[in-house]
Amino acid sequence: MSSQGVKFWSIVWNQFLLKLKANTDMLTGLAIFQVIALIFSFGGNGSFNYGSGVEFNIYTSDLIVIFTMIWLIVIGVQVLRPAGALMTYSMIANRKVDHLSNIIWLIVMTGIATVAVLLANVLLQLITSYFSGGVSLLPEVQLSIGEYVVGVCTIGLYLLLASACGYFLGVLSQWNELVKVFIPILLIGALLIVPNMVSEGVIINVFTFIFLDELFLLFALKILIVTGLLFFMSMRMGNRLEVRK
Amino acid sequence: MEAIKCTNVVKKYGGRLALDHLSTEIPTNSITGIVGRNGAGKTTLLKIIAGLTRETSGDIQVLGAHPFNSLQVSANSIFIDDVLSFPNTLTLLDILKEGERFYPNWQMDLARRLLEYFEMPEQMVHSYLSKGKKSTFNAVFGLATRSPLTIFDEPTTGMDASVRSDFYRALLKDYLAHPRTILISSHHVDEIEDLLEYVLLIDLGKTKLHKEIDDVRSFLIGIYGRTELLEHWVKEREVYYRRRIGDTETYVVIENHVEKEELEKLGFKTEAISCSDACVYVTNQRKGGIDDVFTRR
Repeated sequence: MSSQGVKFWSIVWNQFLLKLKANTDMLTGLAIFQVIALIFSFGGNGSFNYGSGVEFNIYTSDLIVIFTMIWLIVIGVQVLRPAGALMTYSMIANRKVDHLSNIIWLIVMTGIATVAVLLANVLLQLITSYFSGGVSLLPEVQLSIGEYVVGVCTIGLYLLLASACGYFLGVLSQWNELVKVFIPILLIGALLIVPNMVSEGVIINVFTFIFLDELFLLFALKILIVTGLLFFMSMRMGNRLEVRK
Repeated sequence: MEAIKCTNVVKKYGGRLALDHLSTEIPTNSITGIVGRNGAGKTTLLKIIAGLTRETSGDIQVLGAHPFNSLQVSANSIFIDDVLSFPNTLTLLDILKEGERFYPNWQMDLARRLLEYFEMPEQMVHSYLSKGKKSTFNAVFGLATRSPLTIFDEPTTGMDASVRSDFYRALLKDYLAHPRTILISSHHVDEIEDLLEYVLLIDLGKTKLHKEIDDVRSFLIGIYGRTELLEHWVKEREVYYRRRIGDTETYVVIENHVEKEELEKLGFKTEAISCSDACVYVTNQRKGGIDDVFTRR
């Protein structure tokens, strides 16, 4: 009987390459999401007036980041769609290989999305300074390289967290079809009920503790731990699922 | 040595038993046909063997390992059916190249020549293929992996007659040159009869019959005779099929443990039962045929 020794990581790598090629169509979605975000951003995110006829408009790339996060949640769920599973298992795979290659693919997609956010941001700055008719104060803002890197990493970490959330939702919805119905209900329900049960301060504190740490390294550590936990739970929960019912 | 060993395998879907304490052994390097009625449990068994579905209880060993979630089994087996699909972003050639990266025994040359023979352009996208062409491509993919365990679940769905016979011939040729364990499930037993070495007949989730193909061919015998004489004679025997012919004659199918001379003495005529008919008779529910649905009111 021929039973070749199976090289685990080389199969994971091959599956990752397969997913990279097979899911190129999802990048179109990224482009669409960012175009929509850009259109919304043109209006400016706020303006204020000091009197004396001077008006300040604030343009930020917040919306671009938020829309890109939504896209990552969507592809995190989509990479688990049945058609993808059929392809994965027509090649060599088991659950662990499947999940690891999915996660590596999501990390790479997060990287691509981060670069796309930066480029979209540049585009937003160009267009607004060209069309707003006012004076851009952008050249006055001098970011050091360190600050820039921290900013980029922060965006990347938020995006990574979004992809992990999407993937976790995807695994949950594979457990049971009902989950797809219950998740929105639970989310909205939690929004309505939880504020009544605990004081507002607690929620804000928890949120601030995880997502808004002043120290970048601490922030990065917290996001990475949450992301790692989500991926880990996805793998554990998805490990016993059947490929085809 | 056996490639596959199932002991009391049970699979439940909801409350329904798809496999009911099924036990069987499939020898290494043989072609076995998995035969049975719709819903008999063929596909369920094949999916469990391929490790795509987990058995509810019982023990199963494939190539010396438990198949579910086993990378070892996945690396040494391929499961082909008509549901298998590939994304729009890959052309047929891309898919073959992916196969080459994964499967150590991959036969690129064979795969490409088969695609050319079956007139499928390499730049086509899988989902744009017709149903029959999809099945053909999947079958070619399965052949090209040259996996030690190759499983075809209804591989010929949608294929026309000439492609079906070409595929079976290609399978046989490749098997003879490179023996491996092959499982094929099909409704058309007569089409794969010449290919098979063993037949595993499943009915209601149980092994009904597991024999070499020649033994299946001679398993049953059909007998014509005068009704009262024949009915008297078969009283002690298990009758698999019974049909009245005219007013005086009857046709019965029984197990082939009879002396030809004895039958001739009684004036009965005999008829050989083909493999596919044998499978139908063995799995018949013996509550009459489709005619009774219309006559009994």
